[in-house]
Amino acid sequence: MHCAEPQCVHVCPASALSKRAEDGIVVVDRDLCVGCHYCLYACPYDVPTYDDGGLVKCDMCLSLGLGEDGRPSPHCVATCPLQALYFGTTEEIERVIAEKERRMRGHGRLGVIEETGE
Amino acid sequence: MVASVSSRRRGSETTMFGQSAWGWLPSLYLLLGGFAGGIALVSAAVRLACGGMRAEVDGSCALGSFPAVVSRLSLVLLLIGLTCLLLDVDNPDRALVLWDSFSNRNSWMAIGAWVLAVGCVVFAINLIFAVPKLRDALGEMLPQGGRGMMVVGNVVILISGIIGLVIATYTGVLLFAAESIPMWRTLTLPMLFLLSSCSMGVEVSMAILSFGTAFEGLRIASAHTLMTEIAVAGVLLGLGESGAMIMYVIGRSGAGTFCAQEIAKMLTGTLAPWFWGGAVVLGILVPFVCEMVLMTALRRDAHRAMSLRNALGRAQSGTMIVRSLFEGVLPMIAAVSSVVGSFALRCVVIAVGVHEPVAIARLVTASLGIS
Repeated sequence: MHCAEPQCVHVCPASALSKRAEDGIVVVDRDLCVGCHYCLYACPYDVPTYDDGGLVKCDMCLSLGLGEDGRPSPHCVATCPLQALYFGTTEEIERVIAEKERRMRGHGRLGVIEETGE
Repeated sequence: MVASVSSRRRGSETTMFGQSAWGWLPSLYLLLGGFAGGIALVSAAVRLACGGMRAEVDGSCALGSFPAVVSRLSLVLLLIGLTCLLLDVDNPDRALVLWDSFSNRNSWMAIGAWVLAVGCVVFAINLIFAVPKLRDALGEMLPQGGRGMMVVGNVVILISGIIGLVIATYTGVLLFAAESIPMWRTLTLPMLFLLSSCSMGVEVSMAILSFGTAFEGLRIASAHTLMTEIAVAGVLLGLGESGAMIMYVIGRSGAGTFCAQEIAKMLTGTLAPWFWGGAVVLGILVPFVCEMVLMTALRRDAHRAMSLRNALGRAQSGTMIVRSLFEGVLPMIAAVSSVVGSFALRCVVIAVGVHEPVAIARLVTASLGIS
């Protein structure tokens, strides 16, 4: 998930972090980053990290190019064997989860989960 | 089943007290910034109260070498602080290009970088006006000579005091602006840092006045009034800083379980020696006691307002010499104690600047409206 109002973008003095208008992905321009580490404090989810080259954060694999549908194609989503990860807008993911929930109820699996209290 | 995010940051070093990205170096340059700001603010007030640039230009200034010393000190402290800051960032060469690297007007770090840069320039100009040789050379260049010097000089003193106030406040605001750190998200923090900075300014100013050549030729009553006022300011600042610290501790204790745990760490846990021994005893109590003793000494003997050298010169017995020495070194003890205690305060505040562990799975399901 990338924040709707990312604090890291707000606090970065060099504007090295920005939120793309077309898809909301928060990206970093390492050429602008001065390495002040202020974004580490701003982010409540411990997302930014630093390596020898500077700031590192998830950019939905944008740096590796777009998928066949012209949208970012995060490798974690593509490779997760249990399909536990999704990429898309909140509405798209809600639809997917609602469909999953409907199928599970239809197969009686959701009821089992409720009985065990998990 | 809920997944928790570890508060450790991948790829970053573990620094003081097991904290995260900022270690002891940010504590140092936060201290140096506050110290420089406090000195600039207090010295501006003292210089303006003693006649301002008119007195310094026409030779009637009773402060002796005080203006030159404090002007140098505030500039040097600020430059050292900025150097430490540059050493702490990963790309200092980029950071030096201010207009490129500190361009986000919404970022308090960018705002602060420009304030510090302006501060360096203002403090440097203030130094020129405070050192007689440099001031005389400048006076020859100003259109109205001596009169122009007085007007411009007073404006420079005033602006340097205002910049000092801004810098001293900014060090706390920078931390307050990190919205994700619960222990920093309170206005009592900038207030505490400002009062701590002013306290350092008062104690060090008092020490410089006591050990220097101040008050040569000044009427004893005037010196007595000034030193008493500075001592009173020191006492009031000590009370104010105590109040701000109490408000911070009580306020954060009631700001949720996580903050209460961090406060407990500060009061009785791993940070307790730094907090009680450093921030409280050295930072507030020792300077407060020293100022109270000095105020008593001033009330007893108006000549005590003169420099230590004069006080020793007037001593007529061994007891008086010992007393003069003791009372003479008190300002130095208060100054050193205040600075060390203020550093301990900043170390403690940085150490408790951690994120509250976040339950990501709960966050995701809540945001998607899934129960």
